[in-house]
Amino acid sequence: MERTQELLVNMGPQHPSTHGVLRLMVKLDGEQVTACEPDIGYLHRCFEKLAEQKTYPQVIPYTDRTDYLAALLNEMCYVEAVEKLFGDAIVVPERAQYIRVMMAELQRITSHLLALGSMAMDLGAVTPFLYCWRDREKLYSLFERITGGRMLYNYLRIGGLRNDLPEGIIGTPQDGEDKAHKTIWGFINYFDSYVYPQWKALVTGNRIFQYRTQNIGVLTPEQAIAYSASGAVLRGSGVKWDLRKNLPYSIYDRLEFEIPVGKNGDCFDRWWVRQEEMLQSSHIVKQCLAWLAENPGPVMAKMPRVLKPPKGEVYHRIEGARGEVACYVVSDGGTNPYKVKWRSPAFTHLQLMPLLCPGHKVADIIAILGSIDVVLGEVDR
Amino acid sequence: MGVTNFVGEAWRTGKSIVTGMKITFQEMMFRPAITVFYPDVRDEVPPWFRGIPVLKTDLRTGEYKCTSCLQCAQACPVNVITIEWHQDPETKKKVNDRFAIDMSRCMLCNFCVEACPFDSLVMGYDYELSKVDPENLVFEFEDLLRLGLKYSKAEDPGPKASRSTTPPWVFHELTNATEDDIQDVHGYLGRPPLPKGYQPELKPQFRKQEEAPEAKPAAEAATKPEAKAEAKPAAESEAKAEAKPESKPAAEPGSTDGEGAGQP
Amino acid sequence: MVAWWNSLPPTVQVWLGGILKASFILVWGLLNFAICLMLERKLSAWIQNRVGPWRVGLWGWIQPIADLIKLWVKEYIQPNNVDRWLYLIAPFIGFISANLVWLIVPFGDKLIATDLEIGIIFIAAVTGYDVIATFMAGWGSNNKYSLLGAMRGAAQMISYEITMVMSVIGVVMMAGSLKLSDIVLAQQERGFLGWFLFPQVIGFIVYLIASLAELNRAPFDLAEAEQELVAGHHTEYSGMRWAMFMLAEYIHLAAWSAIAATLFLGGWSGPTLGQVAAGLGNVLNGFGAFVNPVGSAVLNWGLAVSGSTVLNWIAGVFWLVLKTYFFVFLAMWIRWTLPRVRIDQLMDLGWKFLLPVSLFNIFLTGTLRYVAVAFDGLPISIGSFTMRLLGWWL
Repeated sequence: MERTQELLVNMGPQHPSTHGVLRLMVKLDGEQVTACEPDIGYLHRCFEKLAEQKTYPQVIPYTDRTDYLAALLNEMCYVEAVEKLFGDAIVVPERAQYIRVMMAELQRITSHLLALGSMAMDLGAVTPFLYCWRDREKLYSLFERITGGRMLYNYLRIGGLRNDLPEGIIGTPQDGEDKAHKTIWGFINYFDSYVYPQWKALVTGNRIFQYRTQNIGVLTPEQAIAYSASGAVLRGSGVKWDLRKNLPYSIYDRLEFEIPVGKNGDCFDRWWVRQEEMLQSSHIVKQCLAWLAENPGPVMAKMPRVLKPPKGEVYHRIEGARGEVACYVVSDGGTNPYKVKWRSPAFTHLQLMPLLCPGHKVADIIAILGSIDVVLGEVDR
Repeated sequence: MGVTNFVGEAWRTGKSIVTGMKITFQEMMFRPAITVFYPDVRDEVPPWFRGIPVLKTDLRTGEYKCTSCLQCAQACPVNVITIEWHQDPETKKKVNDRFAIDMSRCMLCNFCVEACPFDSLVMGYDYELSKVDPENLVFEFEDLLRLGLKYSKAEDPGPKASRSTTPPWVFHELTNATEDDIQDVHGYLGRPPLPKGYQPELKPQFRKQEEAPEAKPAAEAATKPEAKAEAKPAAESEAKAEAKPESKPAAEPGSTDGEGAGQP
Repeated sequence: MVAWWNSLPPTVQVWLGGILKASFILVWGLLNFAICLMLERKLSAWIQNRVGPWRVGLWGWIQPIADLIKLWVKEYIQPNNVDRWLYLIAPFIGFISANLVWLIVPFGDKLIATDLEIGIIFIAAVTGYDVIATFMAGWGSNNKYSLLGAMRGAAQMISYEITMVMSVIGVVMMAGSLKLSDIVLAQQERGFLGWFLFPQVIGFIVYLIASLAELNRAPFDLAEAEQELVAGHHTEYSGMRWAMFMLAEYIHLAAWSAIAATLFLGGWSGPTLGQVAAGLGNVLNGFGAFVNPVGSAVLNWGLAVSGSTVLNWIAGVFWLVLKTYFFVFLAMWIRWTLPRVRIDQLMDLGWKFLLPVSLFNIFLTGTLRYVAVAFDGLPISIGSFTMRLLGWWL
C-alpha cells in the first residue's frame, strides 16, 4: 500500500540564494509548495537597545547598518526624525537638503541594482549579477570620494551634513563612461545610456525570464494594503502610493519625477517597477545636480555642541529603497534617546511569503523572495 | 489561431534570446575586464578616504599633539579608544601614559577625529590591517604616531575650526617625515627626554625655501582653508588647494600598509 | 608496422585494438575535459568583465590541473545511511556513458573507434545511462535536495531524448544511412553549402535545444540548480567522486558537440593541407595566368601531399576539433546569458513545442524530397524548377 507524504524542506540559513541569513521552512507536495514559513533572527544585533545607550549623533552609524545596501536612506530617516524633534530650532540649510536627496537617490539606484541583480542570479542568469556589481563599484567610488566610506557612510548629521561635496565631483553634463567613477554626471550619463538599456534588453525583455516571473506571486491591491506592503511591492500591485509624492519630506515637493505603477502585482511587475524607479531616480539626481552646481552654501546648521532635543516623540517615515522606512524616536530631554524604534519594510514584507508561495513550485519561491527584496540586516536589526 | 500563436511565441522568444546573447557577446569581446590585480596593483585612494585613525605629530617640535582631553574616547560609539594619563607634578600638565585604539572594533566612523579639539587625530589612508593574532590589532601610541607621520604638518597645535566646508583632515601635502622626527619630548618612545627650556626649531627639511626657520606664513597658509567656514568666495581658493590631494595619494602606493605597526 | 599488425592472430587484434582505442578515447575525453573546463571559466569571466583564473600557469591556463590535484587529495565526506552501492557507483556510470559517445565519432576517413551500423541510435541508447546515474546519485544520497534534483533531472533527460532523436531523423533521411561515417561522406560530397546545417535549420535548432537539455546545461540545469537546491543530485559528493560528475558533464558536452559537428557541420570534412597548398599554389600562379616557380612548387607539393593518409587525418581531426569547439563555445555563451526555466515549463517546451516541430521537420524533409523526385520528368517551369532545386538541396 503506497502512501505519499509531504516533504519538509529547510532552505537556509546558509543558502546560495537567500538574501542574508534567512531560514525558510517549506512544505512540499512533490514540486508544489503547500506552506512556507520564514524564520528570522539570525542577524539580530540589538540595534534598538544599543541606541538607547548612545548619544543622538552616535546612533547614526548604527542606522547605517540596518539596511546596509542603501545606508544613507536610513541615516536620512533617523536624522530627519531627530530634526523634527527639535522643531523650529534647527533650520537645515537648503544645500544640505539637496545633497541629502541626491545621495539618497543614488543610494536608491544602488539598492535597486543589487535587488535586480540578485533576483536575476536567483533565477539562473549569473551574468547580470556581475554587471550590477560593476556598476555598483562605480557608485562606491563616487561615495568614497564624497564621504570617505564605500558602503557605510556616517555622512548625515543632525542639522546638515558632515562635509560638502568635493571639488569636481559634480562634473559636467558631457561626462561619459570614463568619468563614471569620478563625477556624478559621468555616472548618470553612463547609467542612462548604457546600464538601463542593458538591463532592459538582457533580462527584462528575455522571454525565459518573463515566463519565470509573470503570474507568479500575484498580490492583489487589497491584500497589499491589508498586509502593510509599501515601496515597490505595493506599487507593483497597482496602488499608486509613494511617500515622496503623497507625504513629501525634505525637498521632494520641488522635484519632478513620476511614480511607476505595475498592473498585475506579480513578480515581473515588481521587478519592472524597480527598474523604472532607477530611471526616475536618475532624473531626480539630474535636477539636484543642476541646482547644486548653481548654489553653493553652508551644509550644516548652527548646532549646540551637546544635542539635547526637547521632550517629545516623533514618527518619521521616508520612502526607503525597499519600502517605507520609519523611525519612532522618543526623547526625554537628555543626551541619549529614550527609545528608538525602527520600522523596516523588509520585516513587514516577509509576512507575504506564507501568503504568496503556496500553490507555486519550488523554483517560484526563489523568484517571489527575490521580488520582495528582503535584506536581513533590516529585518533583524 | 493556435499555429500563429505558436510561431509568434517562438519568434519572440528567439528574438529576445538573440538580443541577450548579442549583449553578452559584446561584453565579452569589446569591453575590458575591470579586475584590479591586487596586490600587484592597488586602486588609488581618494583624498577623503577614511582609513584607520592615527595620531599626528607637530613637526615643528616633534611632539605629539594629544593632550589627553578624552574627547575622542567619549565620542567613540564603540568605545575602542583607551587613554591613560597622569599629571606631571612639576608642570601640572597631563602626561599621556597610554593611547590605544582597538582596530578590530573600530568602525571608521570618524567621530573621534571630529571631536578632537587639538587636531591630533586624523583618518589615514591605511586599510591593510591583517594580523595573525587579534591582540596585535590593538594599536598603541607609537604605532599610531608612526602611521600618522605622513599626515603631520608643521603648525601650532590650536583649536581647529569646526564645521568648515572641507573636512579639516584633508592633507594638502603628505609629508615624508620619518620616525626620527618624532622628538618625543616626554620620553614616551623610549628616547631620552629633551632638556627643559629646549626651544625647538623647525627642521631644515620642513622649511620653505625662502622662509624664516619658523615658517609661520607657511603654517598659516595651511591652516587658512580650515579657518574659513562658510565663505563663498573662498570656495575657489579652497578648490585649488584641494585639487592637489587628488594627485598625491597616487604617488604613495606603498603607504596604505598598516603592517608597519606593531607585530604582524 | 602494418605487417606486424596483420601477423597477429585475429582475437589478439580485436583485443589489443580494443584496448588501444579505449585508452585513446579515455585520454581524449580527459583532454577535452581540461580544455572545456578552462574555456568555461575563461569565457564566463570575459562575459562578466573579469579575467577568470589568472595566477596558475601563464594567465591561468593550467588551472584544471590544479583543480584536479585538489580534488584528488580531498577528503571524502560521506553521509550516514547512504545506499552504499548506489551512492558509490553512480558517478562512474555517468562518466562511462559520456565516454561511450566518443566511440562512434568519426575523426577522419576511416578514423573511427567503432563504425557501428546503428550510429545515431547507439547515442540515444547510451544516454539512458546518464539518466540512471543521476537517479542513482539522487536516491542513494539520502537527502531531500538530492532526491528533488534527481527526479527533475531524470524527467528532463527522458523527455528530451525522444526530441533529440527525432530532430536528427531529418539528417538521416538526407544521408540515407544511420552510420556516422556515411553522414560525413554525404556532406563532404555536397560541399560547404550542402552541410546539413542549412537545409535542416529547423532540425539543427531543435537538436541544439534538446541536447542542452540532455546535458543538464543552462538554461536547463534544474537538476543542479545552484540557487535552489545547493547542488541537486551531486550535493553529497566530494573530492574525486564529485569530480567524476564534472568529468561526465564536460566530456558529455564535448561529445555532444562533436556529434553535432558531425551531423550538421560536416564532421571532419574540410580542406586538407594538400588542398590548401594546392589552392595557394594556384593563387600564386594566378590560376595559370602568370606561372612562376614559387607557385608551381607549392602547387606540386600540394598535389603530391594530397594523397597522404596521415596528413589527411590530421587535417580531419583539426576541422572536427574546430567545429566541436564552435558548439562548445555556443553552449557556454548560452549558459552565461539566459536564466533557468522552471520544470513544468521545461516539460512543456519539450513535449508541446520541440517534439511537434521536429516531427514537422521530418514531414517537410520527406515531402520535399518526394516532390523533387516526382517533378523529375515534367517540363521545366518556375515551380518545378524551384522544387527540383529544393529537392536537390534537400
